[in-house]
Order: sequence, then C-alpha cells, then structure tokens
Amino acid sequence: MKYTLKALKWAIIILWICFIFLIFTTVYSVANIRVETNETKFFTKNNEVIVAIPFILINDGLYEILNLNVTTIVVSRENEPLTKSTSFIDVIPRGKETMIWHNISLSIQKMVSNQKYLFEDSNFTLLNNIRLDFARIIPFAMSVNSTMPWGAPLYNFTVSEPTFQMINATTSTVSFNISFENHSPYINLEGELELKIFNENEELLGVTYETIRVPSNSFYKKTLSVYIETTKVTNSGYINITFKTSMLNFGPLVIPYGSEE
Amino acid sequence: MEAKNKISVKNISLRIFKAGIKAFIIYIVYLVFSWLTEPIRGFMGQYGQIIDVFFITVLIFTFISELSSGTIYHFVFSFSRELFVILYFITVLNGGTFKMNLENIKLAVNLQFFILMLIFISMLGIAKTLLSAMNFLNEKSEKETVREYY
Repeated sequence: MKYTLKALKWAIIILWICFIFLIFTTVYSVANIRVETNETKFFTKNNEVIVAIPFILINDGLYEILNLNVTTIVVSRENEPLTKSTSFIDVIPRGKETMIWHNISLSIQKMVSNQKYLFEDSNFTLLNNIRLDFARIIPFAMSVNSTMPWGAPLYNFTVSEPTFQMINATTSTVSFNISFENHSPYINLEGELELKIFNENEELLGVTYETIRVPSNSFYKKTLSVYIETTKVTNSGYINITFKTSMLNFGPLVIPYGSEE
Repeated sequence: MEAKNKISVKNISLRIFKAGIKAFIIYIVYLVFSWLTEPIRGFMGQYGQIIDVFFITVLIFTFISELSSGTIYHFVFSFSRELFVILYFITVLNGGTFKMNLENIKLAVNLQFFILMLIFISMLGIAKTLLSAMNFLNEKSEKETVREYY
C-alpha cells in the first residue's frame, strides 16, 4: 500500500508541475503574440472592388499557431449577405513573423444590380471571424463586427426637364442637364453614356453618346443636346440612359419627361 | 499530564506551521499567476473572480486538511478539495468553453484540454486520498489490536 501511495503522490506532483508549466508557458506565449496592421489598400480587378487588409502576425511565444482562418462576411443594412472572403494559413511557427493579406472582394456588377447601391450611400457591416488552434490543444475563436462605408457612384443622379428648340421644319434639338456625384471611393466612372430619346408612341427620336470621366469623389454636371426629328416630337416621352464604363455597365435607366395631357 | 500537554501543544504548533507553509506556497502560486495574467486581467471579466475563488477555496481546504492531519478528517477535507476542483471547473467553465464579450468583440477559447488534465489530476488525488484513508484506518486498527494484545 505504501509504495502505491508513494507512486500516486509522485505522479500527482509531476502532473501538477506539468499543468502549472503548461499554464505559465501558454499565458506567456499568448502575451507575446503581436498583431500589426498596415494601411488597408483598395483596388479593382476583374470588375471587383478588392479591400486588402494586411496583417503581420508576430509569434514570439513558445508554441506555434495552426489553422488560422480569417473569414469576413459583408452584410447589407437589411442583413443580406453580399460577399464572403476567407484567408487561411496552416502554420505560423514560433519566433516567426507571418504576413497575411486578407482580401475582401465585392463584385461591382452584383452591387449595381441593386439600384439602391448605385444611387444611395450606405453602410455595410463586416462580420469578421478569426479561428485558430494555439499550441495544438487550445482552439480559439474571435468575432469582430465593423462597418464599411459604401459610396454610391451615381449619388443624387438628376436629369432636368428637356427643352426643345426647333432648328428647321425637320430637325430640332433637345437639351437637358445631367448631374450626379460619384461618392464611391473605389469606382472611377470612365466610359460612355448612351442616351436615347423616345416620344410617347415609343418612337426613337434621337441618340447621342457622351464620353464621361468621373473619378471617385467628384461631381459631374453637363448639358447634353440631341438632334431629333421635329415631326415626331410629342408632349411627353422618356429618355433611356445607359452607362457603359470600364468598371460597370448599367442601364437603361428610364427617365420620363413632359406631361401626357 | 503536563508532559502530554506539552507534546500536544508542540504537535499542534507543528501542524499549524506545516499547514501555513502549504497555504503560503499556494498563495505564492496565486501571486505569480496574477502577475503573469495582469496584462489580460481587464479582458478576463467574471473569470478573474472565478480564479480568485478557486485559489482561496483550495488554500482554505489545504490549510484545514493539513491542520487535521493524523485524523480521518484530513482525508475527508482532501477528498472534498479534489471533488470541489472537479465540480467547480466543470460548472463555471461550461465544460471548458471560455467566452467573453468586449464591446463588439466576442472571444471563445476552448480549454477542454486543461479541464481534462485538472480532472485527471484530481481523480488521482481522490484515489490517493481513498487509499491513504484505508491505510490510515488499517494502521490505526492494527495499533489498537497490538495495544489490546499487550
């Protein structure tokens, strides 16, 4: 009995020493992990806005970090998920620095398919989930919510009432002002604006193409004139506006004019 | 009679001294642990209190158990201490999942490995206490038998 008790006593002492050693080294290692972030970069690639967040993970602890998984879900104001981005690093060895580029991509074409994001500024919520296994024995998870502003590329888009001016019996000109503010920090509108004017009988009166160049955070205002056939002019009608730019194609946007009486 | 009293006082003083030393060692461990976790104390929230309660309870149990050494109560208190460690950690740490909310940050750490290790050590402690209690009772009855025989 005495030998059994002695053996148990020593087993307990050794296990307590191991346990305390493990706790101290784990706490020490966690306290020696540093995360540094550099400046976030925004760029566009293949019609996608990419927000690249660089992390530098400095593991000065005693244990390695495994299966680091960073997932970001961009959610609209209406709680609708817009995109999901994941970055994965399988091992961050001890005493090493590891650079992680976490890219969040938003498809511009998908965004503009919802007209609200073209004309209205908004705030998206970023649901960031970070998961990792520390020292192979401690799974760790962290979730952080942050916001990302969305600037509408066609904010306050306005088309003035057209004014008709007769040049001769067959030809007239129709003029109107187009203005908007490109609030988007990511999208530069460079391309062509196609305008088609129809009368109330849905007959095409005239077409014009306008080259536009509206960089982010700038204002656009221009008076456009289109030659039309005088005989087809009616009291009312509509203008079809189509944007064909390098980053987004959108349209036709139907703007009615005149009164039907 | 006087000599017997002197022995008893000496014996009790020795027990108090030994119990005090053991309690002091636990207190030192607590201080070192507090010093190491000082940078993250703010994030620990309610878990800081849980750790404090754990150390205080273990310290008290150790002191009482050591004070009552040489009696069957020593084993009762040791057994209670081991049982307390197992039940306390399983209950307050939800089986090993450690969760915290800091403004808009949610943290979750799975400490099941540590809980399992703690349970295993405590189980060994319980086994040792039970065997020691059996050994103690056995030796006591042996002594009584020898005393009765002579």
